[in-house]
Amino acid sequence: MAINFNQVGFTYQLNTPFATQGLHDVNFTMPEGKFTAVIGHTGSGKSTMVQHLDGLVIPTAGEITIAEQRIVPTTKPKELNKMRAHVGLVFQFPEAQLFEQTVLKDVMFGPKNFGKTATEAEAAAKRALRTVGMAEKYDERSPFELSGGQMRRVAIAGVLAMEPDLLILDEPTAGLDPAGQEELMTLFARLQKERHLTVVLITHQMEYVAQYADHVVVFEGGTVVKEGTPAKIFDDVAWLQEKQLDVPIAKQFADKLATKGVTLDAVLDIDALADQLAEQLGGSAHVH
Amino acid sequence: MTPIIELSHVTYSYPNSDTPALKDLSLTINQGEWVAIIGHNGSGKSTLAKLLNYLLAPTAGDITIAGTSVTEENMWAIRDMVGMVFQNPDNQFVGATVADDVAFGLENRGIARDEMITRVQAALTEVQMAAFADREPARLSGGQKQRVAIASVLAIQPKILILDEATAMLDPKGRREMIALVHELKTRMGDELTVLSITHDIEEAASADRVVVINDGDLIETGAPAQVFANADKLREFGLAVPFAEQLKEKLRERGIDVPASYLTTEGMVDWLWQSISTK
Repeated sequence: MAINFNQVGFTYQLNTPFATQGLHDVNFTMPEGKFTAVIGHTGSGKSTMVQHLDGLVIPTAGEITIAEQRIVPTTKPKELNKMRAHVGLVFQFPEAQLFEQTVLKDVMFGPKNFGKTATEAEAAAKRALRTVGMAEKYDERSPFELSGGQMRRVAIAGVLAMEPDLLILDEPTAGLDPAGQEELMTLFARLQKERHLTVVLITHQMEYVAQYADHVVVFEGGTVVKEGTPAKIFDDVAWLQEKQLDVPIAKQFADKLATKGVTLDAVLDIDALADQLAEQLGGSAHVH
Repeated sequence: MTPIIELSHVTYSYPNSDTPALKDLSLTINQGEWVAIIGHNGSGKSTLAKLLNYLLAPTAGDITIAGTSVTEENMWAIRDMVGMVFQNPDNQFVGATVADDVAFGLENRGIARDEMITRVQAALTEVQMAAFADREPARLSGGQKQRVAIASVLAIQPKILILDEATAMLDPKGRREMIALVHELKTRMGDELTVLSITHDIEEAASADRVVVINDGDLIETGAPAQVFANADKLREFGLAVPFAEQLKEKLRERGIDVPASYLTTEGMVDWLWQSISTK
């Protein structure tokens, strides 16, 4: 599902004395079947934008196109139900939304809600639970007796059980330990490739942007200030610092080396960095 | 060096759980130390923190804080000495304004109003949030909220500050500011403040004087950050992050490069690399 924003604006409590602008003049395109990362410091408008992708809020200006669906200020939320069935939204700390008595019932809730029969919903839920690596023995357990990492995976299974074409992830790994973070990101990357999903990842972790994203959209002050490939976005370090954004560690490291006179070609990840350094140090490069 | 936290053969099992969350753990932390406790989700780190101020009572073993035994009857004395900041700042706000919130712990302890006003002001100044005293806590950023949470703890004038994954929900800037704040507090208060930070953040752990690794309820290792972080394989085995310089060393080793065996910081690695390359 390709996504296009054209001059989109959103004002909270429009036409009241409390009106505050959330987004203005937002323009970008997220390509279908690709991994797009959305970055920007806290309060830049990223999360407000994301709420538009699921029709949780309707823009107060401009036009959004998500696959076939056109969303304009006069669009009624009800008209978006059909689209919503194709959009999976994983909020920050999604485990807070678990509520059912058993893991399986919790994951079945979404598909049932969108009109699947109990049998269909159960099959979809089981598939989703295995996809996120939750073994069958947990199906009948209470979700509240699981560890934090497991609860997170069950909540994500709840989204995947609806078999969305567009998967939106808002800081999906926050609060997990490093091994848990790695597992989840690997899972999302695999799903994206296998199912040709359109993935939108909102993150502060530039390592993920460098490693997984095909396309990057940068938010600041409620609007998009830059859009492009990770290589293009991370090229201008001074600009990123001005926007209070980090640079991937491998690039920071290469930049530190450059100040000492060791120059390398542009690198964003540790393997590319190691390859080039090994070559300069006279080892055997390109060993994987 | 005076011990301030002493755990002796401490075991804790949650009700209805087959395996203990902490197993026969003994550990001594000295006054004025900054100790980072690292371990994967579910390793028992947070359980340890909760035992220190009697939010949980050990199933077996003894804990003393500054010589006072951590028991039900000493609970309030212990909680005056041990202040805790949790992961989610929204879970610990009670006041309508920032100043009210910081005052809450003091009111509970029946501190006189004059003294209270001074202490609230001082604590907020300490965390650079004095300008926000009359603001509504809900409208602060995550990093600001956590600074207020630290102020609430400092107002009680504790001997020990426990940060239980207090930076986990912050963005990178908020995280760096928190670590900088703890550095400042430590510089100013010296041995008067002992810091225990429970964390996944490698940068936060590297700032500590000592790192304690906990895995599935067992104390695995305790040592200086340089010593603990030098063993990348072991860190990975316990589901922990490996510092970037150590990761890079491993990658270079795989590519047939002779790299120093000892731990290198990022700066140390940069220096080693440019020296090695420029002498080629």
